[in-house]
Amino acid sequence: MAAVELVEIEKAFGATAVVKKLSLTVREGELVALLGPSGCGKTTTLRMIAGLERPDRGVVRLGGQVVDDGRAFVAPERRGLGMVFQSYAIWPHKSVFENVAYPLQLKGASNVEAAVKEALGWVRLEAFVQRRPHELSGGQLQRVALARALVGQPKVLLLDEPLSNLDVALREELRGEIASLRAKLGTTMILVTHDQAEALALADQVAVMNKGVIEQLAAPDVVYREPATPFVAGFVGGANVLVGEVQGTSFISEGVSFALPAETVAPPGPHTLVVRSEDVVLGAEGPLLPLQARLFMGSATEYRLGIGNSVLRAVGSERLEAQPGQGTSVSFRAVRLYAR
Amino acid sequence: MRRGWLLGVLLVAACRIETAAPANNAPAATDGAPRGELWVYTSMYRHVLDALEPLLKERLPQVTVRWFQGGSEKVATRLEAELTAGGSPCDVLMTSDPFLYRRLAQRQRLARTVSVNGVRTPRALVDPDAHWETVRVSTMVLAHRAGEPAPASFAALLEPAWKGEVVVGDPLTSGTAFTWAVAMERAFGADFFPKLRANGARVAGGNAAVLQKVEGGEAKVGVVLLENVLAAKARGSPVEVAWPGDGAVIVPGPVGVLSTSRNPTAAKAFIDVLLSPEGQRVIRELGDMHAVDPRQPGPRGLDGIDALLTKSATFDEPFLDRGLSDGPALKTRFTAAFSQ
Amino acid sequence: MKRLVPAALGVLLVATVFAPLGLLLARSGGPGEWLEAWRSAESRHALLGTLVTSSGAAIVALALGLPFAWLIVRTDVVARRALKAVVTLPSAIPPYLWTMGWIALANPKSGWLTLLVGRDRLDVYGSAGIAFVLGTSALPLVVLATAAALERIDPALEEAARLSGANAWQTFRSVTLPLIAPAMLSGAALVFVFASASFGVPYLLGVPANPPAPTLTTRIYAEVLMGEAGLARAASSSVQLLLVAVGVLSINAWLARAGRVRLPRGKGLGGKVLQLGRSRGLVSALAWTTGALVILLPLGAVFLTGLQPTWGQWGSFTLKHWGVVLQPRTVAAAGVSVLLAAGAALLVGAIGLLIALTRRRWLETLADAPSAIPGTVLALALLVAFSRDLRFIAFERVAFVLALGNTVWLLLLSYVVKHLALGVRSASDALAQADPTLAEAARLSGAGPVRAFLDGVLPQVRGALVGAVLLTFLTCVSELTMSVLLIPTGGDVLGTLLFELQSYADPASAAVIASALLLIVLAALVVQNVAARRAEAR
Repeated sequence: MAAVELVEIEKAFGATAVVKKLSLTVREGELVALLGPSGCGKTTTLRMIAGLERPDRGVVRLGGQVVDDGRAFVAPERRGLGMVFQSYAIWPHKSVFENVAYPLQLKGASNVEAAVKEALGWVRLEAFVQRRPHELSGGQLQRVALARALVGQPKVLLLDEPLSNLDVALREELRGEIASLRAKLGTTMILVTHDQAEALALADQVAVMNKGVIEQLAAPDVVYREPATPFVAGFVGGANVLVGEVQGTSFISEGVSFALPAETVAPPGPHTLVVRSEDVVLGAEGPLLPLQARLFMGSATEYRLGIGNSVLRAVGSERLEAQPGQGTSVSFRAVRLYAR
Repeated sequence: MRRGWLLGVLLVAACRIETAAPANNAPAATDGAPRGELWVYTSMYRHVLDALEPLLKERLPQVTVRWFQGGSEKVATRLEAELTAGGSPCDVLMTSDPFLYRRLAQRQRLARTVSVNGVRTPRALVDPDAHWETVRVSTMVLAHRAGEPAPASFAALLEPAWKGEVVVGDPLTSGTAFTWAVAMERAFGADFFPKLRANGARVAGGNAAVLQKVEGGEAKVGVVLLENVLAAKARGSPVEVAWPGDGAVIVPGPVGVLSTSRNPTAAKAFIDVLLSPEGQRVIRELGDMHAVDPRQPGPRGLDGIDALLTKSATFDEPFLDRGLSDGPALKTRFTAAFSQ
Repeated sequence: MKRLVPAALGVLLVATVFAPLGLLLARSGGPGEWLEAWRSAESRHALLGTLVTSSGAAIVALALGLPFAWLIVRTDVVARRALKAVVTLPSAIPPYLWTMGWIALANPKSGWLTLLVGRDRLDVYGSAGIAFVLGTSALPLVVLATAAALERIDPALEEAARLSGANAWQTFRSVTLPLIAPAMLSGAALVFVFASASFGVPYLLGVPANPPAPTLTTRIYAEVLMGEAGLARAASSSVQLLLVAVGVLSINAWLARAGRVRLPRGKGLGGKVLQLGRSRGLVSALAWTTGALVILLPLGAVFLTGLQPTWGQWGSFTLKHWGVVLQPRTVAAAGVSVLLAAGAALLVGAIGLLIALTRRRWLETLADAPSAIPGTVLALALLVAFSRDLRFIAFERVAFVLALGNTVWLLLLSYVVKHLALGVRSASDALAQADPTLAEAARLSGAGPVRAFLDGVLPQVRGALVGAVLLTFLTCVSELTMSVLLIPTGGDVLGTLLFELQSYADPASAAVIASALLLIVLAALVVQNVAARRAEAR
């Protein structure tokens, strides 16, 4: 049975359509990441699942039950969900214990203390049970939020950009924590993020969203290797996207003609070409493009080349002789073509 | 740094602050035609002052009259504060609180003043020691709504018929209410006010406030100045005068010259103008008060001053002394009676 | 320079406020005499009256202010902006105006509203009436504080509660209310202090009440009028009043420190309004009816009073009283009031900014204190201290003569010191929130310190400062409590003119001038609003 099911939901704020005919099914125990740039509608989608927003059209089901179909509406507090917010949303007037105990107290659960202890144990904060929120760091606050969201054993845990307020080191630490919690508790989770690394690392399924629609829903490696659209390729892999035309075995963009790799077959006509930066070969063959900048990144070096008014990025480990301002030859090892 | 401190200490040591009476820059005119600036502190109504101004300009062309106008008690408070502080610019005092003049005279604050125009003033209104002249006579009477029954006397205010329907002025803020209060205690003893309060009588600030409560129907009877009722009637207000059978209470309005006046010549001339037939006419016609000249009729067609004196309680020196010596205690008794 | 400016400002404040206050207290005996005076039944009565009416006012302001703030910030109630303008209107209008209106509406015998429900069923006189009128005229203190706190709350805090299983009411009770409570309570404390220092309302409603409801301020007034002996008792009551104000403010400050809660900001989802849905009409009607009844109706009653041929004659109208507006005396009083208020407001803004810029806590406290001193006490102290000329003698020669007594300058001085706290607080709050890097950036771009201040700092504090200046102007233009005692001979300001007419001469004209004052204030508010909106649009 599907834990969460969205059927053709739509939402507009004023005249702006934020979510357009979006359907999504999340199976039990699965972690689905909603990945996309800010303003793509991912947070709104999550909030409609939570019941914090109501869709204009469409149906939301949780565990097979309709919670919102435009007429019937189950209030957020009665949906049996947990949620973690970007801003932590730890109540500043309550202690850590009171924060985590709150969902249990509302349920009238017995043995609250033990359950709170256990939940704080999951996030390794047992020692902080009597602290006040202002005594905690951002990472600790977000772990309290995780404990609070999980203590009531929700059917689904909603994570709204949970790591984006943290610095890089903490982010990776907490990312591991979420993964191990999931392994331990088996909770169904929906993660909203704009960070592709986070989505790819944690999710069973990644839904890449753009302008209110899901462009691709697939396992992380599939999304990475076989992006369904140029947007997915550009957003997830950080690939170069060139607009141009296939003529025979060449692709012409901005007046520059590139030779297509041998295995690539495409009918002639307007196409969008996507090439990963590690698949751009410099200094071997092909047309000359001006080198604009060279950025040393440790294990590799990124080169920026000018093409028309845009930039083509290449990443390689070998040293290139060309200096910025000089031209260097460019060819592609592997590309994907999308008909326009 | 240290030298700076030393210099500062020296500088401070060489300085001191002295206090002095405010400088009075009015040119002293001791003989010849009255001229220069004349400060008059008065409780006379502003519109009466406005009407007096053309007359003063005509009779005393070289004198610039400056007014400080306010309620009797306020004028007195200010004058006392200034005198205590070392001096007052006041030349002429013209309020409606005869007790104040008695007190000032005892402290040698008033110069002797006799006006040729005051020779016809009834004996009862003349100070034998000539510390002041009376320029107008106000009268405390009863006011009620036209067409409704009225109490026959001040004593009748204690009757059950008027329970909760009487409003009186506050002797603390109104000099005329104070004079009335002294007269009531003289006539009915010190328990008059506790009895009046027990009958539900209430206090409202000044005469205008009392009249407003009768006009507006908040109370059926008010103890108020005759001139206020007459003016209200003339405006078309549904109020009537009820003459108390046990004697109205007259409040002579004195005028006196401060012994510290820098311009006694102009001050005396000013008083002459007020007591002249024209001055008295303005006071009677615009102020709705009785003139002290027995040849003039009363305000709004009422009888003149002689007739008024026959239907009023006695006003004499013992009465003044009573108010003066017993005044503070009376105010305390009144406040105590009306604060329960 | 760094030390000289704060020192000079401090000396100035001590000389103009604290020395005169000391002089007043010295003239009234010592603590022994005060304790003696406090034991009397009347004194206890007055103290109790002040405590009862002030707490009542705070409760009224809380009970009305919380729902209004919540509706205005969090819901789609009809005409939100207008509702906010209406319930914050009292901050610009002197409380005695409301009192005049309420007497016409709810006096027990002939009030408009009274006659609707039956004679004697409604009585605005007495403690309850005082508390109600003071509470409504101090409503903005609670509404603004609560609304600001509501706006600051991260909506995620409430959403987290909903997701934890709390319904809307449980969420409000266990999350929203505790979070806004500190702001609300500090608003209520300000209402309490405002109410305890107020004179006009308890005088007009307490003295004629049945039984009378004395307060400390009306008692001070009465005692001052009793002359020399009363002055000592008045001063002892002033000490009580001071202690009440200082006590409440310190408790409030202590609570604020103890229960300090940092409100984390949300991620821009703030301002999400609750759709009232089907109950929108009902809720809006209720809110607007309450607002109209409590705020607009009494003002309307004042207006109508000015149109009645005689007081209490409803039904027929005349414009004849309006002639008073054009009389030279009124025009002169209005002119003096406007000039004084404008001068005071600008000085409050400038000195307030200067003090805030020194960043000296002690100086800010010193400048803050006079706002807690009841106006009556402050004015009395100034009158005692400055009615004589002060000659400054250096090296046996008169260097300078300070003659403030009996001049408008004393009035100006009293306005400025009384409202200085407003300027200091808004300037220092704004400075605390201002981004210092802007000034630093200006310095690095080559601006001198003055230029960097003008370009980097001033634009950030200007909004708050303009608000303080406008509020000071509006308060001073109709000030009564201090003006009554300090007005120079022969002069008038609008407040004293109004008081004079109301209690001695002609209540109808008083109502007319009050109406004219109202129109001026409303016009000023409209101008301010338009300016603010234009600034926002930019």
